[in-house]
Amino acid sequence: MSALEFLQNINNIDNKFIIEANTKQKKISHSKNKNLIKIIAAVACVVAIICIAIFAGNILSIPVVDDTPVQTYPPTSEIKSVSNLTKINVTSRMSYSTDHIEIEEYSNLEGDKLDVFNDYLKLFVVISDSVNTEYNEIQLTDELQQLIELNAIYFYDELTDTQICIFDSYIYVIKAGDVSASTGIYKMNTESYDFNEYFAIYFD
Amino acid sequence: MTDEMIIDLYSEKDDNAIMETKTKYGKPLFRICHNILKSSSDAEECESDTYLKTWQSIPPASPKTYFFAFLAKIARNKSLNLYAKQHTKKRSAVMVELSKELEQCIPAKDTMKIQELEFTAYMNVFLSKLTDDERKVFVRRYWFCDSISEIATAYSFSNSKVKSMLMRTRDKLKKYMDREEL
Repeated sequence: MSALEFLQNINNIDNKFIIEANTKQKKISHSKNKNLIKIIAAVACVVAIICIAIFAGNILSIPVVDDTPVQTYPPTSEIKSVSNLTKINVTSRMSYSTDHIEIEEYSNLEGDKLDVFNDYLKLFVVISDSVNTEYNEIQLTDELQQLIELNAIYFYDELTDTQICIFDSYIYVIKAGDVSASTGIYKMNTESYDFNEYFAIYFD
Repeated sequence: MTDEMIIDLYSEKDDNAIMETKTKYGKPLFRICHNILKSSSDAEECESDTYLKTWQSIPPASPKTYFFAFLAKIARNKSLNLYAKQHTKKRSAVMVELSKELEQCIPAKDTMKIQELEFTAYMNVFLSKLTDDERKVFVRRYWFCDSISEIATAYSFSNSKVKSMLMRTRDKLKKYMDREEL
């Protein structure tokens, strides 16, 4: 079949193909529009992904609002550094005022541990500024054991046979050395802690 | 004027039918003829023959839904026949160009096993399987005999894209013909 014969043989193709090809402008422009829409959609997707990534990054970088009370004593991480102070044997009474505390004599404390302990004593002074005599008696001895296991500060005064545990916002005072005696355990919120009241209990 | 109204004029044997046809479809019909013949005078002659043939055909024919295709087929057929008459020994440049393109995919003359009517049916199936763009470009090239650059301009494609589309379509046509044992 020659090219001419081929052209003659396809003369009677379906009318719809002829009409379709003769209306090229509309059809093709529609096709081009579709391509344009695809390109715009692809660009929009990329922009959206970038925006989401940036937005997500911002969200992750936004600090979580901490509505817990501001802590005025050394952070827990520092407390944990002296967590092995299971017992601090204070060999003589403390002298104190509302402004400062001095420990006249003590043992088992040296170096960094001593510094941290002194920080706590300063803390007591700070706490004393927010005077409130309220404190709560807690009945759960298990809670105290858990605090000790959690490396809370825990020290002990031989002279008064009183144990003190400090953990987060609370000071736990265990009088008479009897951990299991629920009546001897006091949980005091440091936010409403009365320094004088505390030492009244402590050095009674 | 709508196609239906023009055909009604033909049916009533109103002389205005030809004038209205020329007004609406004169340019595209002349273009089809000129694409094949590459001669304005010959194209005008074929265009005029198309109107005469249409006048003779309607009625009984009533191509109300495909009037342009009806006219274009007449014009194209007239042009190809005139071309064949004029170039019995020597082909024109446009036919040489089309021959080069088509020789890879159309069956050899002595191996053609089917008649024109069957061939048209196969071509309709083949065209219906192409994508819209492939089909339009193929029809514009081998039915309307538009040049590559005309097709590229009409569809806002590059020349190379049109060429590659045509090449792929010819490959498909060859495979289709081989598969159908044409």
